[in-house]
Amino acid sequence: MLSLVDVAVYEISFRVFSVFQILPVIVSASVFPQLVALYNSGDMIQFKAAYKRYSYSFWFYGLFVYTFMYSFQER
Amino acid sequence: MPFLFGSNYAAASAYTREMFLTMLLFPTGVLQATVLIAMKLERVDMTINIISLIASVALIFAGLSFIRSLTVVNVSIFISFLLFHICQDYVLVKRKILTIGNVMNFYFFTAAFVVAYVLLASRFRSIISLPSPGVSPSLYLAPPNE
Repeated sequence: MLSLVDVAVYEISFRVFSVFQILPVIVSASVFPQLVALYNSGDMIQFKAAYKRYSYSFWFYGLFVYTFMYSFQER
Repeated sequence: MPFLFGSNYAAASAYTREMFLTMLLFPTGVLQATVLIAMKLERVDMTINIISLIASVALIFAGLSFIRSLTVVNVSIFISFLLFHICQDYVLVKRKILTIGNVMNFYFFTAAFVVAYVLLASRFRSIISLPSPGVSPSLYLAPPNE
């Protein structure tokens, strides 16, 4: 198995990761009632439109966070 | 990273960078899980989670038996998230929420963007990097060949 130093390094990496993972979790929980309401209304066009709109935002957030961390981590 | 956690953990930078590969899939994965639950497909979502967990654990143990490195853990988690995302895509395509074109576009443009960024970042590192404490900003602004 890995050493204790590896465990500490992993913990540090995960702490930084957890800072950035909070936002998508909060936003997805916030949009959940709207998605449920749209799905229950049977209006699939609106449901798909809402999903695609949020999906683009989440996609760009992932790209932004990855490139941010890639650029500002020292080699 | 060494500025925040000390020079003993300088290696954390490289591993953090690897771990953030998962961030390319995590936000959309969370949203797709929310969509599945909104569509009353909680059991499907739970099954996908279990598949992802089993894949993650299996890959970590298999990888660590050959290479004892944190890279194995980070890459295994990334692959399990990729599997998680692909399973969600499959269900959403079957339910006609997504099309195969949407799914292919997502993976293609994400991969193309990341590859292009990684290749170009080395050329433009002097522009996009923050200066380290104690290092003159002029060193960062100098052209790479000087």
